[in-house]
Amino acid sequence: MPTRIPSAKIYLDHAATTPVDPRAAALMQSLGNEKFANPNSSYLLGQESRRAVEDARRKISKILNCAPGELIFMGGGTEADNLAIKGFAYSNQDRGRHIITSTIEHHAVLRTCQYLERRGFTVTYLSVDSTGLVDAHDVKKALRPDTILVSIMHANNEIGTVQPIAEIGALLAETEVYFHTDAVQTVGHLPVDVQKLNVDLLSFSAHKFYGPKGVGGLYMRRGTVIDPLIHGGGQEHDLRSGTENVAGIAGMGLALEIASEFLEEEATRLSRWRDRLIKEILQRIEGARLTGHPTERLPGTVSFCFENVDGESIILKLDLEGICASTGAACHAGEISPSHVLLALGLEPTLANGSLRLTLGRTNSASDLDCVLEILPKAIQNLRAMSAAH
Amino acid sequence: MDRQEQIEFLLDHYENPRNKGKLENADAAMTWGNPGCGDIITMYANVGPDEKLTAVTFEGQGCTISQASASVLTEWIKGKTLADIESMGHEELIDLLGRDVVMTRTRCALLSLDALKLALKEYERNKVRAENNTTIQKYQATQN
Repeated sequence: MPTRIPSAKIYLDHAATTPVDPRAAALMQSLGNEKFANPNSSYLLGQESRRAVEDARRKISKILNCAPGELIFMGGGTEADNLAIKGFAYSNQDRGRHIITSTIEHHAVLRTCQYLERRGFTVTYLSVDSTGLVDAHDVKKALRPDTILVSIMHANNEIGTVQPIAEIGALLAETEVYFHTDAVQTVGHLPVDVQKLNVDLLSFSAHKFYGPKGVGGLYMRRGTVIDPLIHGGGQEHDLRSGTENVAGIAGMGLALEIASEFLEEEATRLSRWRDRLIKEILQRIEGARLTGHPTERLPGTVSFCFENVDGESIILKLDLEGICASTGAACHAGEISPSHVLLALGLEPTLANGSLRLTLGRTNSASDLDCVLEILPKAIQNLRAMSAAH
Repeated sequence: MDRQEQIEFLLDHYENPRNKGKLENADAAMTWGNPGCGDIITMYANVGPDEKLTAVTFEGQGCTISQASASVLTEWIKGKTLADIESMGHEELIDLLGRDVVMTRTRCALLSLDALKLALKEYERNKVRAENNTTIQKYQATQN
């Protein structure tokens, strides 16, 4: 199994970010210190950096089942989504200006689509069912002669619902329409094979699979034409100029290699824990409602809405007990309305404000579950009792 | 206060709000909210002859931080003058609430102070208007 990363706190926010795997961290340190040269320099030291970048590209391409040349590295998942959607839209607008996506995408996709709408593109936002699933038939129905791109996330970051990407991909493979998936939550956690998924573009981010922050990548099927968003020295096939983040890319490659090696084992362990948490939370806490799909969900994602309690209060209470978790409640992280994802499931805003997401990962041990199952029901009961008094 | 105490302090104010309720016939009142979000706060205030706040209450609904902030504010500003409130900066309230607890949620944290400042501005405008009206009436009386 992968090395358990010890944590003084009970960290249940692995979907937000993960700690860097110690082996990846050591590799990054050596690339930052001794082997620091620019990979675009021709002398030996430079070529060692180049080798580190290309090694990572080979490792990742093997895991995603694509050619190394079909991968572009950049500064993270958000940038990958922006490049995939804007870059593709700009370079293919002669063929049409219609894009299809879903209402529960990450803001990196949604706000990019909204930006394109202001630039004359038309976007169809597909609604999801109450478990967060996109219906492949809805994608088909939404296709128009001027549709150029469909972008549907592989798994949702808030509720963990895993979309039928392969089904949608097979359907779109019979058309001229390109298919992008934001796989930030799945790469390193679920098997991601771009051939089986039948996608043309796929975004991923290192810090979600125990790699460093600020680095990610985009798979682009050979023959896909996109415009760069960053112009300059022509690195990354001229699609992402700027000196490569050598240490970050190498760290990402090693982190994904390790995650993939133990993927099945880790997914089995986390799913078992996830299902135990879901079952016992439903038993122990009144007015608890599971959000997302009961089975088609990420191995480590537990997400709930609780009646008559503010999600932020739960987070603060858990924080007091040393438990790190997150909420999709209103105003979270500077947002001004309850999570668009929870609202898209048809939840009332008041219920959406009582949301809690616990995401399991490598820092956790079985005893963390016992702790959470003891603390969470008490915290919620306590908060409800306090507010009932007023 | 350390982080632990700061969180307990906020949760206590959220769950046991101080000075919550409408202030009948308040000198100043203003409702303010985050558009599209559940947070809404009405701040009420009475102003004494020396421009000191004699009573401040709030009503509202919304997230923990917005409501706790309003409750904390009503306690903190007791005895303060209009000028004190006007010069009170956002940073001051954030420090009072616990910077590292509310920093990701400043919009909610500052709702109460913004509502109070607007209420008092409106109060001062009304006062000036009333004084102007009195002056005009006096002037008109001398003309008749």
